[in-house]
Formats: sequence, C-alpha cells, structure tokens
Amino acid sequence: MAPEPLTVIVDGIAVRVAPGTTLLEAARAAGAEVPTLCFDDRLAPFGACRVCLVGLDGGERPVASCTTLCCDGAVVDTRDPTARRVAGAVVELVLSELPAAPAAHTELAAVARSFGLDPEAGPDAARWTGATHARALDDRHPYLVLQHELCISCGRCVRACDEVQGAFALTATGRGFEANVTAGLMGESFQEFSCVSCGACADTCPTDAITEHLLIDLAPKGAA
Amino acid sequence: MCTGTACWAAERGAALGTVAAGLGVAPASISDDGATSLAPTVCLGLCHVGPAVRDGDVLDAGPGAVDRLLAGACTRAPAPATAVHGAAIPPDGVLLGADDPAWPGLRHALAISAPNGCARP
Amino acid sequence: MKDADLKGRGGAAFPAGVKWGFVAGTTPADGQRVVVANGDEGDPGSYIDKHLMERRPHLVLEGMALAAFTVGAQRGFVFVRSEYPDSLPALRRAVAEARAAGLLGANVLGSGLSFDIEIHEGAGSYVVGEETALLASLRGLRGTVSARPPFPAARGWHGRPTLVHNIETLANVPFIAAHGASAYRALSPGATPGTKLVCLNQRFVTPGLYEVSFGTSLRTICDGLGGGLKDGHTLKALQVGGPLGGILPASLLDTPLDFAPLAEHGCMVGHGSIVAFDETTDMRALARHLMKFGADESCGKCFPCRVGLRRGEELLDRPGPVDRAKLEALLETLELGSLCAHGDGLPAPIRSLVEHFPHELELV
Repeated sequence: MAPEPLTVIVDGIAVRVAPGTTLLEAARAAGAEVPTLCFDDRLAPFGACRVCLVGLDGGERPVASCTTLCCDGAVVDTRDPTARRVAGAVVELVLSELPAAPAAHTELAAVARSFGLDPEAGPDAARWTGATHARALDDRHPYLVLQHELCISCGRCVRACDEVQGAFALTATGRGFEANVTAGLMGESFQEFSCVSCGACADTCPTDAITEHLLIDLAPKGAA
Repeated sequence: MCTGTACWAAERGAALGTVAAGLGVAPASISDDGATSLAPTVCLGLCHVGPAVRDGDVLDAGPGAVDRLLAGACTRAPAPATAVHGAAIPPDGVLLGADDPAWPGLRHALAISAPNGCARP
Repeated sequence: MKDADLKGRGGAAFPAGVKWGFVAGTTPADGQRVVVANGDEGDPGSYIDKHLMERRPHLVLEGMALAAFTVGAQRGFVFVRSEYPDSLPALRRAVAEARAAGLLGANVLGSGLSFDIEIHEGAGSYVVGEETALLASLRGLRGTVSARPPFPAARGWHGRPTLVHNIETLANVPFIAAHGASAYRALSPGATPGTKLVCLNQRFVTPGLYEVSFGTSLRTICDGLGGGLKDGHTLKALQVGGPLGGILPASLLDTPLDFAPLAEHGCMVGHGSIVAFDETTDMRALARHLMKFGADESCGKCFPCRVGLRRGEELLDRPGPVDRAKLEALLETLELGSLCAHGDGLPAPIRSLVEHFPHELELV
C-alpha cells in the first residue's frame, strides 16, 4: 500500500506529494520557480549553495528547500523576503569570487539575473569585494578543459562523476575560500585516473569551470 | 604555532613573526631543504600559559617558549591549576579529581538494570 | 539520563537523555549502533576536553560504555584532534587497562554485553568538531559538513545510528549512573543541572581549569577563582564559550554562567572557555582576528561561509571606516544562510563588538 500523500501549500497553491518529497520538489510541482546552483535533479541533494532558501510555516529563519523534507500541512513561501534577500546576497558573494563575469549562457548568470543582479558587472560590482580565484587552466585532457578560477565548489561535477557515471575521477580539495575541484592531489590531470571522458562533469557545471574542447579547436590547423 | 584567540589575547600574534624570522620559514610553508615547516594552528590547548608552540609531539608554552623552540629545546608546558568551586559539589569535584579505572558507575548500572531500560529479573 | 537533564556540553546544549532515546529507538538492519566521543576540541581558549582526555580518560570511556549499553551500541570511537599529542597515548593506555579489567570487549563483567572502543586521531580541522563533518573525517573522507536531517542518531557512522557526544558530556554520565539523577541535579541548585568546567586564559593572575556550579557569576569566576588580570591590567571584555560565543563587556561581569542569562546578552556557555581581553586590546583587531579564524577554518562546503567569512575578514582588514550596513548584511547572510554553526555562529562575537564597541570598529 502506498503511503498516504502529504498536502503542502506552496505560495498559496496546494499540492499533494509523497512522503520523502523535498520542499524544492514540491515547489517545482506547484509551478514555483526556485533558483539553485548546487542542485541537479540527477544527483542527490547537497545543500551547499543556499540559493534555494524559502520561507517555511511563516518562520523567521529560511530553510534550504533542496534538503528539507515536506511535512503534511507545510506552508512554503518561495517569495519570502528574508529568504530572497539572503539567497541574493549569497549569489552576490559568488559573483565576487570569480576573476571575471560568468559567461551569459551559464546557469550562474541566469540565477544572478533571477535575483535582479547583473552577472556581466564583474566581481567589483558586488557589495563585498576582495580576493578572486587565481586563474589556473588545465587543458591536458583530450576532451575536457578545467578552468579552476571559475569553480564555485558546488560539487556537481564530483557528484555527477560519482553518482551518474560511477567513475570517481574527481574530488573536492582545499577548504574555505581555497576549496576547488581536482582530479589528483598531486597536480595530476584527470585522464590519468579513472575518467572515461563521458562529459557528465562539463554537462552539469553551472559556471563553465569544466567545458568540452570544441571539436573545431581540436581540428588540425588548415583542415577546415 | 598557536594563533588561537587566547594566545592572541596574550601577545597579539607577535610570536608567529618572531618564530618565522628565527627559523627563516614563512608561516604555512616549508623550508627549501624540506627540513622545517611552520604551521599556524587554531589552538594547542595551552591557553593558561600562552603563547603556545609545538615541536614534534612536545607542547611548550609561556615565557621562553619561543626561544626554546628556536633552540630546538622545547620542554613540556606545565599543566593548568585546577580547583572546585560550589558548596553543592563534592570537594574533589565530579569531573576533576583522580581517575578511577574501576568504573564504579558502570558496575552499579549493570548491577541494577539491563540494556534498553528493561529491569533485570 | 532524562531525569538528570544533562545538557550537551559541546555548545548546543541538547538534552543528552533525549538523544539517547533517539538512538535507542532506531531499528538498524544489522542491529549495530555506534557511540562517538567528540574530542575535536578546537575552540581557541578551551582546554577542558584536553584535560579530561589526558587526566581522566577512564571517566570518559566509562561514560561511553554506559551510553553504549543503554542505547545498544557495540562499537565506540574517540575522535581526538591531532593538536593534542598527549591525549592519544593517555586514552590508548586507558582502553588497554579497561580491556584487561574486563570493562571493554566481549561479555563485559559477565553481563553478556559487548562494547569496544577505538582511538582515532583527527587531521587538523576546526569544523570537524561539527558532528557530520566529524563522522565524515572518521570514515577517512574530507571533513565537510552535511545537511541534517538525517541526524547521526538516525544515520551516522557508515549509515548506522550513532550517538555523538562531546567529551565533557560523557564525563558527566558515570556520576549520574552511580549517584542518580536527583544527586546530579543538586550539584547546581536552581540552575542547569550538573557542574561545568570553565577554563581561563593566560591574562588572569591564576588561570586554570575550574569546576563550578551553573549559576556562578562570571565575577566570582574571573575575580575570585582567576584572581583578576595580571600585571595591573584591567578587564575590557570576555569571550565566553569559544569563537562562536558573544563578547561580554566588563560592565556585565555579574552575569551568571548559565544558558539563559548569557543568551540575554548575545552570549553562550558554549564549551566553557573564558578568554579575557585587557584594556589595551584593539577591538577592531579582535574582530579581524575572529573573522580570519572563521575564514581560515571554513570547511568550504556552503557558499555563505566559504566566501562570506573571507569577505568579512577583508572588510575589516582594509584600513579606515567600515560600512555598517554592508557588515550587518553580511552577518545576516552568514547567520541565516550557513549550513552549520560555524558560519551561522561567527557573527555572534562580531555583533557583540558592533553593539558594545562601535567606535573602535570605526563603523559608519
């Protein structure tokens, strides 16, 4: 027998969900838009970016909707002013850590726009400014390029590699502001490990920190 | 080198600079020959003496500790003073005092009960 | 344990008996439960657990065994921070003695119960004192925090129900087992039950480790036990309970050491450390020191803490006035956005400094 469904009110709209559903899933089922950076529905929730904050049951403290499970009768406010203010500030902090504005087509740029922030403005436009990540290009892989300075430590590439491909070729490294993604702790490139070049990391990356070499760049000069 | 708040309150972080200069190794780095590393750390738990240093597994702290570190002659820091205060507390304290390797609390508990709260027949 | 109302001593003050009930009430598929003693005492200014692990290791291990037999655990770990090289051998020696005495291992004292303890050395991270990060580190993973729920009591070490307690919390358990809940509550009449270890820093005339009743005033602790500040210095402020605790100006020294009275002033009992700052202390430099500590020790998982604490350090590090609105918006982002108590707690002392020493912070 299927467990009794729960009723959740999202921005005034009642939705019926199965027990174990997250607030984020319920909100999206209700048609609400909740921005996210570390979330990818192919991967287990991670709870790191804090951009999916919502109001819950009229409480003062917003909650991360991706890791909070629905209770029957929960009242979710995706437009809660405190949640939006704090989440917007977090996105501003993220824009301030990149040495240059994220490309317009990236998920990060789209999330910034959803908070009314200008992703093109660059790190100095943020309310809080300071160190940005040093540029570090790793193009040793035949198909994948890693630009460490664009990494925001959302962990999506690492989890896609673990959970989707099962290759375990990537890992997070460092702590605090120095956190980043790496293939080996001794500076190795990831094709030296168990990478199968599936591209799941590049596919999920919200900032273009991992991208695929364009085929046109790989073609011998003059071949076209 | 401890850079924790208690040591900071004692000497405002000056000792780290002295040690870095004395060793010729910058904080959070390793000497070129690989023989010496200098790591700032959060707290070494010697807040009653401070500034605190650690060379290998020897913790030293207080007046002269930096000089002893630079001379490769660290000595173990003294243990903190202890005392019990409160009319309702036994004179030896509940948490201070001598350690009892006989585990009397466990013996008593096993004598009167079984796990998960079931009374023993 | 529920009658004794022992509150967790690691900082969160969660009722230990309730936590035991959660773990005992689980139904793990393989019947295995775990007890973990959190000896990752990273709070700058605190040497309470260090003392207990080195001088009273049997008390800690006995507390673990009592917890294990009550909740139905078979395995225990003490996670000891690597900065305490003397704690490891003291605990290992005590484990060996307990095994030899039949107090650990199979069929303890003929009871039919089995429990054993491993001593595990940490790898140098403050945030690993947070229980989910500690359990990650204990499994050999990167020491980063995970969202709760699931709480360790439901899914902890390798997915098993796990009781995680601070060292001092566990050290309280043998007294409760031997003397009962009412004797335990009587140790601090009219206040939080039990006793509290507090430790004073080098600025005091007689710095040390003191066992006091809850409700003892900070003045009694600082002036009576600590003897006031040395070398003719006067007290400017105290930080009570670690780096995530608020800062109490000297004018509030009559505040009792207990959860509610300290919370009224934005402070906490925390883990019981008391760090005095004398009249020569530059409070802007203190704010910078605390933010730098926070940024250096952020685990790097959640974005507000990972970037925000570094930005806070930079904001206070630049010479000249500090934009109060910017600082307060950053503190709010940390408080409401962070995944764990590190990012969410570090604003507390900064808020105290903003409240009590705004001119020294050069707020505009």
